[in-house]
Amino acid sequence: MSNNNKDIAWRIYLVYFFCCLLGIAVISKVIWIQWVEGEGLREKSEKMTIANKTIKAVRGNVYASDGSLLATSVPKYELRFDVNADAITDKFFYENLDSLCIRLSQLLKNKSSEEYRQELIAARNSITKSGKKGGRYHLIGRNISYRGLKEIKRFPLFRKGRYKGGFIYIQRNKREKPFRFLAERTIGYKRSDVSVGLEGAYNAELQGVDGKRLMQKIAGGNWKPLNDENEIEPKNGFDLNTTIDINLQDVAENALLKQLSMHGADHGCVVLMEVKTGEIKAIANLKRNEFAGYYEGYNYAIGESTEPGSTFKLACLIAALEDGFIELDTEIDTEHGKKKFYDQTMYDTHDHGVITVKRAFEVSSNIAVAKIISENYSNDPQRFINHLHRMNLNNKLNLEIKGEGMPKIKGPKSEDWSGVSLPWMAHGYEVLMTPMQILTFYNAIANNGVMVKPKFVTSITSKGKVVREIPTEIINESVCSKETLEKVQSMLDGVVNNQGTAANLKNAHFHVAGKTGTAQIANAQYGYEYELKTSYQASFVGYFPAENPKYSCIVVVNAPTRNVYTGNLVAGPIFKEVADKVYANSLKMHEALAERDHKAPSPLPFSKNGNRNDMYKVFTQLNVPFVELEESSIWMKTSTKDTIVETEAIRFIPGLIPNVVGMGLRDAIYLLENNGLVVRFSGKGIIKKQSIMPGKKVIKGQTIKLELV
Amino acid sequence: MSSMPYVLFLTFLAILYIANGYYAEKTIKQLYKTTNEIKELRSEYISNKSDLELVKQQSHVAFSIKSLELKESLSPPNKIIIKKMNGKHVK
Repeated sequence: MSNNNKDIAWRIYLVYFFCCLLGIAVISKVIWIQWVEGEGLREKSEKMTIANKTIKAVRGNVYASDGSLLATSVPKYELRFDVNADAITDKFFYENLDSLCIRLSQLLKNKSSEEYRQELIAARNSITKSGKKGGRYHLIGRNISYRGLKEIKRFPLFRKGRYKGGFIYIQRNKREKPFRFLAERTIGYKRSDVSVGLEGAYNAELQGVDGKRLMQKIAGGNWKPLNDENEIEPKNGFDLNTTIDINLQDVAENALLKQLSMHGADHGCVVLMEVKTGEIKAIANLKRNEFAGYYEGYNYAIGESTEPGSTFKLACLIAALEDGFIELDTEIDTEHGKKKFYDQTMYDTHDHGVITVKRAFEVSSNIAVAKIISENYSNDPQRFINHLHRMNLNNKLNLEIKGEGMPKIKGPKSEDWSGVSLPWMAHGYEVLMTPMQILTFYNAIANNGVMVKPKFVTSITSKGKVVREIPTEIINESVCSKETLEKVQSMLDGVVNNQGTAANLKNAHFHVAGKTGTAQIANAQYGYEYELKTSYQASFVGYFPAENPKYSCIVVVNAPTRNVYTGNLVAGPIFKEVADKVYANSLKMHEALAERDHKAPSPLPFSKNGNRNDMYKVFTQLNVPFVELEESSIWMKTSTKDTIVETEAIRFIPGLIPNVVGMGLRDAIYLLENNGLVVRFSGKGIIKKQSIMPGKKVIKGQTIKLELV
Repeated sequence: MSSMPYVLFLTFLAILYIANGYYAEKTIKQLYKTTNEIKELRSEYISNKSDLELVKQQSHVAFSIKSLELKESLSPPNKIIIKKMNGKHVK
């Protein structure tokens, strides 16, 4: 027995011993973890659950002059499909695949439903490198709008959600331009290292400063802030108030689009500028794509320096006028439209004979202007060049938008100066200018000699409060003397209104003043797609209304392909359409109507005789005071006095012709036809005469003629 | 035994503390959800507005009324200015 007891005791001790050992092991491990490994582990856990999260600053908006949004940030979605989600069985997948593909194709419009089908099946069956079934993150589309996402969430398969339907979407902030292609290139964009347009130019102001906040991870993948305040407060970006008038922009962009497609041109631009302030009200740049459609691909107005052609003649004649070499009525022999300068021959489009300087400008004679410049300045070409410099034609405008083309005005010391440089510069060759630079110069002429810098942004605001006002910058107080200014303004007016090259722009309502330009451009710069060696650049630059200029505008069309290429025919109509619509739409621009000499004798409106109820209803509605002199009848006669309208009854005796003189036609026809008469009438307004005298007996079917005045 | 009410009070405080923690987390989740909803609604507003602006444009209106044989007027508006004198309209 005792032996048995001893045996049990031994076993108990053994178990006890092991339990103790286990206990010691646990405790020692706890101690180990707590104190030896502890430091590292605690750090690790902190890293996983606590982080300094960036709080993205909201990028500022870009506004048009009327407060419409030109660019803003909105969330867009990237859609992914977990094609091999655990819950998607083969049966479930193939049953819904067709309808899913059809709806995707309908909504996204980039692929056919069959293409989607093949793509998704391939994704489901693909095998990853590690040998697992692939396709767990298949891209469906990028930049999907919230509206699109809402639709797609209802599609078959996808409506089951993330785990059962494999539908994944990621939100990203994107810039959106509600007006789409309107002024797209000028509004621009900013991507890591590419700065385009205003978004690029004012990136520092728009982007704001990101904030930082210490956050702890909580259930559900959310983060909660640890402290009461942000470590670094985010500063939202400022808003940009641009000068662009979205209505005028629409007019300009669409007029340009229409003409470019009509002439099959390669590209073109329109810029509309307010004369006094230099504010750019509209800037359209269109470039042809491979499908013969047009898009805003490059800011030609700002970036493209080309030989301006005849529009440059203005600067040349200003130089000669300032030096007193010519007057507007100085006569020039244009040598039958053909003249040799050294080894080069210059042509005019027509033989203009002997003409005055003003006429030469109006008909755009190359030879006349070339002769004026080369004859007067050949001894001292630098004098001519100095004039051009004084008009700031050799300087960049230093626009905030990147990529401004460099103007080129060479001098006699330049390497490429030759004997024909003077005559060729005189009609706009061997010089380079961008459309914006030419416009700025013409705007100075419209602005009585004051050259202002083109302005795109009026102010920078933050939550509606102005942070920085951007004033109009004056480049040159006076590009030429007052006398010269008046002379060139009359020449510019003559181009349009005195049967000059742009007579087709003449308008009955207001005067346009400006200059056409047609320049030959070597096609090398446009690449291989042109068979011809040269193409044309048609332009028109001017301002309106000529008497008191409000807007200046330039239109440049490059490489029209339908055999029409002159400035007046290609660029002119765009200018005309823009000018006409701008003029018709700008209430501010118009003078009030002059007061009439002959006013109505009474401030009260005149009323015809007629039906009592109608009359009193109108009087009451319009608050016209009236008084009944006699007791009422259905028909009343009015007499309008200074402060009150007096009414009297008219009584008609049945069977006798009524007196309808002084009535309106409607009432008269009612009365007469009820008496069985046939009514004929002429004129409009009030009945002045009736062919049958009142009071005569009515003969049924008789015709009565009424005369209205 | 006499400290029992005090212990109960402490327990109550502890429960309150934990409940408050959960409540805060719930609020934070709500906050995220609402912020996102604002963003989405704004996005929807912008794209609807964009569509509206597009059909509101002069060129678009002109195009869509072409079939009615209507076109844009090119004659400028007539403007009448009424002078105000002592707050009253006078001719």
